[in-house]
Amino acid sequence: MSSTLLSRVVPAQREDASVSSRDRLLAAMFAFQLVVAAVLGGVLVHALRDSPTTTTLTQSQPAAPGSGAVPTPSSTPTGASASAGTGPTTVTTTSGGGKGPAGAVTGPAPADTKVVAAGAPIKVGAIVTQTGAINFASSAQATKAYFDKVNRAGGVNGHKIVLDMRDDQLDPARGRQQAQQLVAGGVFAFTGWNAPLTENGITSFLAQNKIPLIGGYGEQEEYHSPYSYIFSATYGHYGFQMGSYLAEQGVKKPGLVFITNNSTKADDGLKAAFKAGFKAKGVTLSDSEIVSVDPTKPSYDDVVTQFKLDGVDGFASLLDQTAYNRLNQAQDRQAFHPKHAASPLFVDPTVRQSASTDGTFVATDYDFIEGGGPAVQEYASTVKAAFGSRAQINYFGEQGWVDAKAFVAALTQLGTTITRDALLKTMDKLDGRGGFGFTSDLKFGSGVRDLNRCVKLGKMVSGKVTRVTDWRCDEQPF
Amino acid sequence: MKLYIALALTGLPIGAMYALQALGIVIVYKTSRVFNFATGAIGLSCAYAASSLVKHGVPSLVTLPLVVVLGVLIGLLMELSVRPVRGTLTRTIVTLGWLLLLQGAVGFIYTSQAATSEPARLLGQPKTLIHIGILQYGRDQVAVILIAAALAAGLAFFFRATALGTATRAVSEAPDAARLLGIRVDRVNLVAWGIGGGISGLAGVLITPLLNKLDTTTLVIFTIQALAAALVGRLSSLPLTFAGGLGLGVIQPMVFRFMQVHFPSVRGTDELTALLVVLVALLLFRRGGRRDAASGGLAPVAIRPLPKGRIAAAFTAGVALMWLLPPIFIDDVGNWSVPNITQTAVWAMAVLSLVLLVGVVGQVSVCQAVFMGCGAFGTGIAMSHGAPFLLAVVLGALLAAAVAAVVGLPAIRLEPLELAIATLSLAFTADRFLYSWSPFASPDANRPVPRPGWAGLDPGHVATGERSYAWLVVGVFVVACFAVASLRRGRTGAALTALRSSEPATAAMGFSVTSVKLRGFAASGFIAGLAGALYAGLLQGASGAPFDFTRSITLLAYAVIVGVASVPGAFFGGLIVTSSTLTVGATDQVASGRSASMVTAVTGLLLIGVLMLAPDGLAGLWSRLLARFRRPVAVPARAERSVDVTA
Repeated sequence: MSSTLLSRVVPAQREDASVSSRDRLLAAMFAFQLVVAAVLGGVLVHALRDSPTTTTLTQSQPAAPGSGAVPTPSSTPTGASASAGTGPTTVTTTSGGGKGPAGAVTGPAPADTKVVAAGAPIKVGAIVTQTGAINFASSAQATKAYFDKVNRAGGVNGHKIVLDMRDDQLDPARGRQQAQQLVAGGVFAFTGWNAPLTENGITSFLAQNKIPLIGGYGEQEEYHSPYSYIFSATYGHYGFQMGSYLAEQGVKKPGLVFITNNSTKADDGLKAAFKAGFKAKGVTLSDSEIVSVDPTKPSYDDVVTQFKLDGVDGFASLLDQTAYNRLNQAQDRQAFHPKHAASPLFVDPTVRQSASTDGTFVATDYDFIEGGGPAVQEYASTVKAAFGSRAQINYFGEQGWVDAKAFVAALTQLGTTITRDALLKTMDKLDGRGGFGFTSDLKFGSGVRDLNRCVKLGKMVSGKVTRVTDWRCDEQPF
Repeated sequence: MKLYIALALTGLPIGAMYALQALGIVIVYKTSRVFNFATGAIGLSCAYAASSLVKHGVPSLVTLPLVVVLGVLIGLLMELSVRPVRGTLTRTIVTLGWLLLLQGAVGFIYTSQAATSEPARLLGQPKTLIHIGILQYGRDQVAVILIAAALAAGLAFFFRATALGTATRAVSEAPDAARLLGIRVDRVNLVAWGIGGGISGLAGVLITPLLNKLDTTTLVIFTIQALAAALVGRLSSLPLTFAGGLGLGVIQPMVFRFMQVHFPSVRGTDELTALLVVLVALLLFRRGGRRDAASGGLAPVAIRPLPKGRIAAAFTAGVALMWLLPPIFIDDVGNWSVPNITQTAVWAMAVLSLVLLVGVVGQVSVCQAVFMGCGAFGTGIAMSHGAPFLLAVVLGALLAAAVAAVVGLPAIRLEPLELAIATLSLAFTADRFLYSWSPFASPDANRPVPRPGWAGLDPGHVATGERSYAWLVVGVFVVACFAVASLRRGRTGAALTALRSSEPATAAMGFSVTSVKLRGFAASGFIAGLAGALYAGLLQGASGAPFDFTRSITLLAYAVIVGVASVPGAFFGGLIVTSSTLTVGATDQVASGRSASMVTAVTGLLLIGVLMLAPDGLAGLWSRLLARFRRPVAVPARAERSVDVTA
């Protein structure tokens, strides 16, 4: 052993033998560093001397135009990005932003009244997870297809819409950086955002920068930000309606299976909503019949077996497409087909339907694509035309389409004075009747954040979904 | 009770799936002592190939042998790639490279169809039912149970009753003696890897229809579960491995139900169960005493000591100065912006923590991202109790150090390879359990980490605070670098050097092996925790997503690629991690996901290539090039040659 240790020492001695050579090299490198450091240091001193010293905003505050925090449209022309290639947009700043004591957001942010010049393109940002285990490619396709359609028709009031879309690849750090880049690039607003891991952390950042967020996946923060407009119904509404509907169908001993949100708070809210729904009809959902699962759960045989042995006569589910395929398989194996109310992903094209899935109730806050109205059919045909065999038509695609549609509807009403502040005010006054042809009546209004409070139910018949209820609405908390 | 029995029976098919994958692992380990982490990746490659073949009208009877042959070929290639590599742990890390390569390659080839491809149902549709007691099994489920049992029995017979099997056992137990007896060790290894690859391929094709899904992650996740089954079989007994797989499959649904009823907020119970089985199996069923790091672990490589003297001090100051300047001359935002510098320093610090643990202490960890997660959440917890940011960062890092020391406890008894297995299981469990456990991660699974703006430091760019923060993080990284490099000096350096070479010798020199190891783990955990805490500051929130188990694997991969014994190499490791996360091209295009898959595949390829050609990493390669450049000046050619011979 000692020889081994000795051999560790020998190379060290050998290194010492060439120390003068290395020192020469180090000395040369150090001389080079000194020169570089001197030059850069001079530039630093110069830069600091020229910097404005009166601005004292901190991270948690809205960035004031011209503060240099995030390059503002006045310094970075909107629409000048390499991706767009549609020429620069002139945006003029007519007033400054709010300021407050360091380290705190102090009340509502002042108006952002930067006006987009006539005829200039309007740059819109979107971050959509298109790579990874959870994928919203259909939403990305729909948003892009809608804006392309609008641009082909001449744009909105003479403005073309330039969509700068990024894929966060299910990585919140990447998503945050992309959001910062888009804000720095002078995007006018975000729309068609469907990146669940990124959204929660970024919503407040967008609010600080006074960037409107029109549509999104529907994370908690988004339902409470004065700058965001979410068109999806919360779990509160889903749970209440699915629970009460199953009870109306005669279910006496219900069960619930859902994919965990990895957030106890969100899961507890979801369970409470389902319980409230059942309770409203005099039925109790027992804690022992509530099963939360991971998205990677390989088999649902145990869940189905548990429900079967416990005498569950009806259950609700909030799962993704893969999980639904596994659940269906397990139900077939165990020959267990009680009343079942599922989420809209149950009718996704990737979920295999069969005779045994007939009779399943499907709840949705966006209209079913099968048998949906003209607006829904327009969405499907437009995306199919744009993306051919790659087109993905599903529930998330509807979301991406409605997000873009709502944004354009507000923009159209803005007329020639296009500012973020005006956009927010217009959004608050939008006519939500008909839900753009996709949802129930949406409740727009100053301070209203829970826009969509209704779901409808359909029933699987011969492998296709048929509507069985109209919109069912409630006032569950969100 | 009836319910629990029924639940247990529902786990049999899942258990058979674990067993199938575990058989492929055990076959390879029996001969080469290498743990094949790429088993699941071989399976998914074959499953995708089968899906394509079936889609193109190839009959099932033809598809099945074809994809098994594909698995065999991948197995053979893997053996050829590990053959020139020294040390069982290093060889095992090569298989991590194959995991990344195969996973990335499949993602790249299938792009957007990767998630929507239908698995090939070579055993027919699942609806044909077989009634067993109160349960009904699909024909495909029963077939998988029977095939796994038949394979376990058949292979056990093969190893006991055939000449090749006997040779395999001989190679496994005493390769040098086997070679002296005329056994062609390389050929035996080749055969074992081929069989292992074939079984892994078969497992992939059989499992995916049962999972009702074809994707690039599920089978990889299954590998982690199969670990437990393989360890129950002591990585040698095939029947026990089969039993271990079934046992795990049976236990998990019962534990799941119990926890749902009694501890509904606890998630990841399947992974917790598997981790428990792994730890118990490692500690109870181990085959023998701990081997020296030199034979079982990574090849010992010395960390270059800090230069001495005035020039060196000036050099040090110069380096520190250079580090502080870049944030000033880069934009706050953009594709290479100030946050990217912060990110680089954070990931470099994470790689540095591996340099300390692997390069200096001679231990291994495939859960470094967990320590980062502990640092991040620990910071959030401290801040929620009113601690200021900087204090919270230190407290977070201390929490990570404590966790690392606990993780290091089994290292006292385990071989490096076993430790790698245990830490990977831990990384996977943390993903599912720790990051969503409310007392740790908060009910939101996201803890706010607001950082101060330090306005006075950066009057020109105060609103984002990114620049001031970059200075802080880069400064911490520089200090950490010097701290690690300084470890070579003095008594600690002597203890670490001795530990890398031989534990008995270390003890004989008067050092406590246990203490040195635990201190090494704690120090490494502290640096990783600092990195995680500062990363949480960058994102202004702590969540589990940035610290998942794949991050642990890629961190180790990058550390090995740049050189586990190189402190400056850590910087390049951080640079690679950051570069791999940058947005390539922008735009209104609907992404295909190819770039991410390509990064994964290239990382895997690099890892394999580096370990085959330059085991001391790119930094070692650079050092050798530099040495060749200066040798003619420093040492006469003849003298140099004589030194080489004696060395």
